[in-house]
Amino acid sequence: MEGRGQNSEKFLDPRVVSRLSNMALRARLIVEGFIAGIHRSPYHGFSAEFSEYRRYITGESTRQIDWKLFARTDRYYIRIFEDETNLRCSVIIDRSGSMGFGSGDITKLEYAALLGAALSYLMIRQRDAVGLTLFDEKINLMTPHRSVRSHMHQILRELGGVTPGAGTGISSALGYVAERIKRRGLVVVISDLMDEPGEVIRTLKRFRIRGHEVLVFHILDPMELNLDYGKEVQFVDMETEESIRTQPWFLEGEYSRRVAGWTRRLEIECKDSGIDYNLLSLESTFDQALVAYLNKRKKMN
Amino acid sequence: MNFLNPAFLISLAAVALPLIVHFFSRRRVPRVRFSSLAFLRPSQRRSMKRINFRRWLLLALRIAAVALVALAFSRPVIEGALVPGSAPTASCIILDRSYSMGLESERGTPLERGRGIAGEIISGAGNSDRVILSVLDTGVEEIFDMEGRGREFALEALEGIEPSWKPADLGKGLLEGARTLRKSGYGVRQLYLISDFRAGTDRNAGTPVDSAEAGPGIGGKTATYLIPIHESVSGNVALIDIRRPGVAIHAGEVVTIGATLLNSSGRAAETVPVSISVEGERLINRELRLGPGERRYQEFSFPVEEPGWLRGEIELGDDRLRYDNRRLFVIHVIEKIDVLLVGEGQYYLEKALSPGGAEGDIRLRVSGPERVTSSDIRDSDAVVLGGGPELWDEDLEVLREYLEGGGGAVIFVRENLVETAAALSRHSPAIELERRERTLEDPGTVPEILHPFTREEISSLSRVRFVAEPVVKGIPSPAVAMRYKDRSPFMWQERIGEGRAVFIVCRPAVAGGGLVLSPYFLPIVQQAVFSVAGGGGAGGEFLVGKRPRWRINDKNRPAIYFQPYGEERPGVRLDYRFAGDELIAAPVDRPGYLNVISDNRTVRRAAVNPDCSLESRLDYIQPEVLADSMGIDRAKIIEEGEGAGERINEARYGREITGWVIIAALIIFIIELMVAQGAARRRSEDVGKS
Repeated sequence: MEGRGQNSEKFLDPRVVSRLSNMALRARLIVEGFIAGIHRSPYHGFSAEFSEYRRYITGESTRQIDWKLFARTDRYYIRIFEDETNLRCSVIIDRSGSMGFGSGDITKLEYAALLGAALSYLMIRQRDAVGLTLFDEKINLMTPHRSVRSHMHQILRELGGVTPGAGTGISSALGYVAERIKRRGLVVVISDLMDEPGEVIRTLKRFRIRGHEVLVFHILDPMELNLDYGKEVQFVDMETEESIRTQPWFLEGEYSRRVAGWTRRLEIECKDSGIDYNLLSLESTFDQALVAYLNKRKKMN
Repeated sequence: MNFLNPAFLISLAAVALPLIVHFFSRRRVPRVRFSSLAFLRPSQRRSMKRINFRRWLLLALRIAAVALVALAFSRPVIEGALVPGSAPTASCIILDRSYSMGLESERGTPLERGRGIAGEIISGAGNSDRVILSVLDTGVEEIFDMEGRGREFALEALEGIEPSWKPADLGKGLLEGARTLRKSGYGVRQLYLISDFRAGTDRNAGTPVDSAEAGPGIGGKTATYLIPIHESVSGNVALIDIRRPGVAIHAGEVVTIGATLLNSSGRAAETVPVSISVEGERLINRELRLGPGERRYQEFSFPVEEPGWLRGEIELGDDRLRYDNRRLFVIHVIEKIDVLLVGEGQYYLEKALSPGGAEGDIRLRVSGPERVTSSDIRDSDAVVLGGGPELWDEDLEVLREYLEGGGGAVIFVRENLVETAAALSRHSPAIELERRERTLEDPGTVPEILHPFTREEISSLSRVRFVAEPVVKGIPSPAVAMRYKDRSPFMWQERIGEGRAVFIVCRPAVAGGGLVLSPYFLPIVQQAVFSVAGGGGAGGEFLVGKRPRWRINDKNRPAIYFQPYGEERPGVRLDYRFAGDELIAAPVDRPGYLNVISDNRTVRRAAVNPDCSLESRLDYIQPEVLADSMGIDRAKIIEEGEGAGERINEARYGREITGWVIIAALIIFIIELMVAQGAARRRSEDVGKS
């Protein structure tokens, strides 16, 4: 068992799991690896609640036909069940242009997608309703909150095909999302937060004002943290296409100080606002994020 | 700076490589799509200055490294004036052949070593170069000009160079060499002076030479190389001067020869054997000890019996420098003197010159008061003027010519001869007649004219009374042999041209006082005649390289022969010319004897000796001092010795610095690497610390 557990934990490494092609498989391996590591099940009880009927369409499976109703009405209806949900969880993933950056095996967006998929998988396995939102300058996708497996597959499908978009509009996009989510729940923001920090914090606070719990995963590439380039390069801004030619070793010291100051400010202001802030490098294993989520989930219970 | 492979200078174009790499590599900088430049922009502005400085520094270092490598291929040389084969060069080699270059040593004489150095310079000349080889002593003699001829001929000519008997005039050598080069018309000129740098005739060494005299050749386009061949000498004793009798010697008399010896060593005393020989017969052997640096005058006396022009020599024992160990001399020993007595009333003079009418050492002829003619005095060894009357102007002219041509005269300054005496004397004395008694002053020594007299005899002359003798004024003291007690001259001697005259202030008559009747009259008169007879013909001395010259009365085309010392063969006939009454012969280049023959008899004989007054001291002139005195700014001094040829070529073509250039290129390359990798290393250190 121990060997099996270690074998599963390797899928918490984004570099390993990114080599797999199927997003559903990736999400399951991440979560199972994580569960194997913590040695107890995070899943809650399972129950299904009838939601509605709908007409049977020819070619569908007959397993879901309500024969009793057929007997009364002489029509074929399919029983639609709604899973029992404990929490409404919104996973908001930034797919702006800057998220397409990655100096290693994966990009920030791929990391964000894997993390989003793993969280969604874990949440739905916990019977929590999950809604996925993708945005760049605007909202690209916003799914309803559901806890059924089919919804999970839809989410994983969407995340498997996500690609970097154009510029960043975190403030406006998150503001829009904050207006649309009516019921209180957990908001998970996965982004590089490459925007004006004050605006970002202000937008995140709007979720708090509306009664949401907010969990922020700040994704940064190691190169973004220390600018560890060994030779002269020409940097091209992935969103604005602006370029700077420089020799990074002259800049790295001051650059690192600036980035550290920026993340520190985000962390402090998030903390002050009751927002859980987690800085994740692309080298960070997924268990850090999943533990953060579970801790948050535990506190909400 | 010059280059041994100047064609490779084209490789300097390679400096374009770092430029191309620098600018092109900027275009090939990898593009990195980065999430955001927001945090880069502020830092980048401040860092750009440092980045640009470092970039240009790297470019400069790379260009320098490439340029140095290219220079290394071109084989740079410094300090040299030539690039072999780049331009035809005129080289003038001045080889000192003065007698000090014959100093013997275990390594060979300086001249032999100098010939070797000159040979290396000649061998190192290019095919299109011109090499002029000249030898130097008191003058410069060009012995070879290699333009258009093979260098083997130059080397052959070099082997034939032997030391001369002359000292060296180093300044003249440099000037002549520079003039020769200037005349050559070559753009690249080199002047080499190979010498032992002994002070010779260059008495002005150490004093600046007028730049106009030096000409534009020295210190200008002409590269000057001074190559001293310095041979240290513990000591050298030289015979630097000789003093022979200034008058003809009578057979049977004792002759005194004086020699000046110099020990040039400042540290050690030297004992040297000295010998005197006359006509091959050794007369005196003596051993002298000279202290360090001592200069000593030593007299040697010996009797001579045989009449004639006798050849003699003083010789020192051999030392390392044999050229200054011997000096030659000639003494004229006469058997009978032909005397012409001119004037009237000279009874006592006749008796004094021909006692009892007998013909002793003097063959007397008496001339009356008639005019003196050339034919009368031509065959006379001396003329005596003792009585009046005054000579006519024409007679005075004849007598003056006779004296200037080497004749002798004894003139009694008395009444009736006052004007004659005043006219013949070079001092134009004022002569006054006084009628009072006077006596002579005791001079305390024996005057040279009266050298056979004893001290006592000279002293007893002061007891003789003189009556009514003239008083003469205006004669310089050194010329006066004896004086009256009133300090006016009694006897003085003058050189008149080649001849001599003795003036005696008294009347050779009883009326003149007690002298005529005293026992001193005859010896005084005869000695006065002996002292002037022969005049310059007493035996002269000339220096090697100088033109012998005499005033000779007889212009019947004499023949002059030179017999080199040590050679028994008949002498070499010399060319000569007359300048007025002066006969000027061609100079001779070695010691020996000169013989002037006229009417089949010897009328003059002289010795020829080297000038050892200066060079025999073996004083070393620092080449730097010589260069300074000649106004040569950039003279290069190359010490003789092992590897001299290599050093000469090094000075000539410069010192190759390819190795240093390569080292400099490597250092710059390493610095470039350090600068280029410096930031990366610093970054690694930062990572390590963190």
